Amino acid sequence: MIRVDLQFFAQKKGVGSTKNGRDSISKRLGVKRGDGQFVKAGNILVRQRGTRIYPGLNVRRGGDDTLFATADGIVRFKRLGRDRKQVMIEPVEVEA
Amino acid sequence: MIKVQVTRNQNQEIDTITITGHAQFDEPGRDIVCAAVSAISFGLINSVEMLLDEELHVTMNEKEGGFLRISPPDRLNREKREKVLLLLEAMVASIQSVARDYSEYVQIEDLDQPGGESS
Repeated sequence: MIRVDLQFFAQKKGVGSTKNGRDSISKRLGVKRGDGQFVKAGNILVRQRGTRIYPGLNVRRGGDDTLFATADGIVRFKRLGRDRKQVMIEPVEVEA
Repeated sequence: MIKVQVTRNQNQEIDTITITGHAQFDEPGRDIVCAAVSAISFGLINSVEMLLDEELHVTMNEKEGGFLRISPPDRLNREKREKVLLLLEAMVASIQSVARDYSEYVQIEDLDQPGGESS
């Protein structure tokens, strides 16, 4: 989610003239689904660069290190070893 | 003056929305015209993520503000693409309504309209 700066298009203090046209690409990385949340197969769980969080059961890693669910179920974050984290999906039977 | 430029593809679908400049309606923190355009723009970006679980391509000048470019994500299925495009059209319409009443501070150029007139 992007932060809503209501004065984004206001004259900035101390800036004499409008300097724009320069770009900075903002990547909204981070955890997209919380622990205990129900997700469907294919839902994105984590957007990351490198494996800050590792894929666990029913979770796979995409080419850009994005983690996504491969089964419907509940999101669970767990520790992995001493200082790592992993995310997994606890499958739940979805009533038809 | 905030300038909004809308570019469209050959199917008249929105390609990019680029917003540049500063409203200069009032001093920072009290600039309601800027607040309106900012709220519409950022509200739209977050709506696409909240409602459709998709992320628009967003390029912005985070340090000094005054520059924001939005375009639809690639590789959308048809249904989601239609929804994203509808939300983008709603954003343009919302800014147009602000521009109509605050034309000294907001100018929108939508090249879809005949002659690409701006309001």
